[in-house]
Amino acid sequence: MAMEASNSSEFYRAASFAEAAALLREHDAAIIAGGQSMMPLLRQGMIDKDVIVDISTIEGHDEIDAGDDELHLGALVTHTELVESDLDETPWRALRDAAKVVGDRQVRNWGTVGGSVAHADPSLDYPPTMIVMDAEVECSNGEETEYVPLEEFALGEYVNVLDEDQLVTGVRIPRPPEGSGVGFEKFGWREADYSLVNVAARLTVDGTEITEARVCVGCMGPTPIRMEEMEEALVGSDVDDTDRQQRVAEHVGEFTQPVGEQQASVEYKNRLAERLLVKALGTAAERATEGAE
Amino acid sequence: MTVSLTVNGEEKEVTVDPTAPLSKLLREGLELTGTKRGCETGKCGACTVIVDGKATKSCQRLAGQAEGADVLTIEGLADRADEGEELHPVQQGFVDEFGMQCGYCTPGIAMMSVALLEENPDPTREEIQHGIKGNLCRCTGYAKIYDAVLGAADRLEDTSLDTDAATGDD
Repeated sequence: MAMEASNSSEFYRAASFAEAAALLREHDAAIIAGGQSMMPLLRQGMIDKDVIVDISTIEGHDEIDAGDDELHLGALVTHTELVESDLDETPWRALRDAAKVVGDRQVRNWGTVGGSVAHADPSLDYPPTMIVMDAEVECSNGEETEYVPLEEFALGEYVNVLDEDQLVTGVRIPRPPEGSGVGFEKFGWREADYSLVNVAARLTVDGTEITEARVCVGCMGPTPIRMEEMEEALVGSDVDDTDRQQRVAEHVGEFTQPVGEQQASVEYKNRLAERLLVKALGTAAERATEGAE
Repeated sequence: MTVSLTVNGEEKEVTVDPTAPLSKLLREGLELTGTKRGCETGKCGACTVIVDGKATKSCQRLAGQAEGADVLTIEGLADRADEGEELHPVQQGFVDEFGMQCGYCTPGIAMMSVALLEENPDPTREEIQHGIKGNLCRCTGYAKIYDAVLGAADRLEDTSLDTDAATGDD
């Protein structure tokens, strides 16, 4: 067996984020919660730290709190908890769409929102959806809490802005403006596999005119990419003008930096991104105009 | 480190490297070798067990994280058989439908199926397909596995009907 990488790390179970932050200050430590991203790295010897800190039993951070102004997700909310939530009745329903297609049941049962975000893997499914909704990452060192726009949180593949003693303790997502709809689409080789390409779009309308647009594409660079020029090209157009949305989506390849693979060339990935974008814009348009009629 | 946990209804204390996977605690610490180790990276599902009521790949949990946990493995399944039966309905389903060939993936798929049926006692074939997609089988092509889980669902249904009937008679 090639995977018998064993380590001699010490193991701590933190009772609070403050305790976990203190351990991060004292040791060369890795944080584990649901373990669905961390365990493969540990098992393959890609991470070898002196100390492993388990935060999975810290109480009070597994709540989905949809308020008037924002949705707050505790870092320890699992994908299954998002799937089973009643977010479909709220403007944040696209997050549930994303949660449904994360991994498989075993992964969704234990993997957490906070871990997913902190992992900064450019192919994960929440970031594009959260970014088009202007999400902020709640980062804490146990004493001070700061909020970092998710768009600025990942610096590169698996690299985030967290200080050495900071942890992701939650994500807050403002209530989208009235008349908004968000769509999320992904493609993986098998259903709910790691995404080969994923995209999210938000359209905000006044009547049928698009007044605000957000487009974000994942897996196509070291971090999810905001498509600001495409957003500008959508603003002012009619939400039902699918031809225009198609023409805008055709430009996606000008802004992406995909890595070609044996089974998926750069051209193929760009074509996928274009098709997924058209679908996501369609869903966003439909949801934005829902209830307006 | 000594980890205290409940496994198949029995309280256990195991001395184990807390950064080893739960699968190793079960197999080497408790000699419960029914849980199979496969890819070790969360892809194959062979090591699936139920922790605190939720299916997990036991290579994806640290042994140290099992402190205080309630774990159900394939060895504990027959204890949950219906009265007068030797096997749990899911196990019987795999026997009756011959839902295995080499059998290496079977314990993991059986545990995932138990968790699935607890949540959805009457799944469609498609729901089973989605439900056990985290478990790989390289022999069967899955058709017989889906039959086995459907068979298990029927058995569970029969049992609940019997219970209802019995209550009615009383």
